[in-house]
Amino acid sequence: MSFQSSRGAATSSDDPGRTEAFEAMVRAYAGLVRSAVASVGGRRVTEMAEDVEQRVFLQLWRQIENEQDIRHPASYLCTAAVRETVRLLKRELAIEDRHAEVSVQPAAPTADPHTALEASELHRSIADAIDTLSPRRRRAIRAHLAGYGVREIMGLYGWSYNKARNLIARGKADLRQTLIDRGIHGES
Amino acid sequence: MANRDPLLLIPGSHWQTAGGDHPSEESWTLLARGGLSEENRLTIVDHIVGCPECTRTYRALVSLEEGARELHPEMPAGDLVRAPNALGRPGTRALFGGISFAVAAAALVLLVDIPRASDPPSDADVTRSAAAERLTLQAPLESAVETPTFRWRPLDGAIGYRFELLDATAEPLWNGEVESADEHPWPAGVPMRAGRYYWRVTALLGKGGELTSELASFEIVSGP
Repeated sequence: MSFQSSRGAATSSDDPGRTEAFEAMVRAYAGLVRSAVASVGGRRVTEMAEDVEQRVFLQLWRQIENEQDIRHPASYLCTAAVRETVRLLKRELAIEDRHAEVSVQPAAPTADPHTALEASELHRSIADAIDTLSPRRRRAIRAHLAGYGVREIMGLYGWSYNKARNLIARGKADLRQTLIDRGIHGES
Repeated sequence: MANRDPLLLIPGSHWQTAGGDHPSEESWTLLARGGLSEENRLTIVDHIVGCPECTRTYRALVSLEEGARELHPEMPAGDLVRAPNALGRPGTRALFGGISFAVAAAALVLLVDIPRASDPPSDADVTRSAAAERLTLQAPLESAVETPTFRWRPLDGAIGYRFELLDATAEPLWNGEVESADEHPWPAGVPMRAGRYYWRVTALLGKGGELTSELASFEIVSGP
């Protein structure tokens, strides 16, 4: 199925049935964008669901209006939906950052600067230790420590389940030994 | 002072040290829809993994693509998620068509015992299939322990496991995917105090399926 926008040779009035079907597809993708953004914890998006969906629908439609001939509507819409998801998230994250800046409290006067310095040095030591791992184990460990599940790590790097698991396990073992060799222990 | 695992020093489960620039809108589109070289893809993925903001965008796009695939299964796959090819090396995603799907289907047949239609199930088959429907927790079960290690029987066909620890009021204390197929230590970052706890495991199956065990309880008899 192909579609020609109102700027193309065929107008919507020539084939209202196909235009309707295409509009339904656009609405479906607008819903997917809204769900995708809400799924990563965009609270504002979740709370303003209908409004967001309508805005995304209009944005997608605007993109379509600029095209002459869309030969593969599904693929085109998916690409447009990717762009809208990225834009929407960037906007939402910017708003969250602004709210966070407003609500940040100054550090308590009794905060221990030595503790903060130790934490910073520890962070650097751990980062340095991670850098000593072999490339695949480093990737597996970084993703693991960042909170990615094994399935996600499989998908990120194209590894089988066992390979991902083994790289994480061996990476952790290497990291543990490197930290111990550098005198960094988890003291109780 | 006794030496403990230095990995326990790593804060929480979200350690991210971002490097490089955020992907541009065009890069995200190429990643999601295909068109990046392997080298460029890896560079972008390495950044995504180290960046909380880009991690969020990545997960949203994976969710979007999964939804789009339900609407249009015939659409060519992008490059957000890589599946291993038959030789176990990274390959482009083709989970819903092509050779990779055939290989995955063949592998699933090898893993799963599919009874022939002409053979009526024996009692042993019924027992095995009933047992296969359960994810069996092994320890600790209704016991008093000092330092538990959680063990369960691996499930055929599982591609991962999620472990949950709850307190005496069934409030979640820890929930996450684990790398071992049959055991998990006390979760880092959760204080081990005396009292009753609950736990369960979810086996992650292919194509989004899951199987969750019963909830088991145990008691910590002494803690710090």
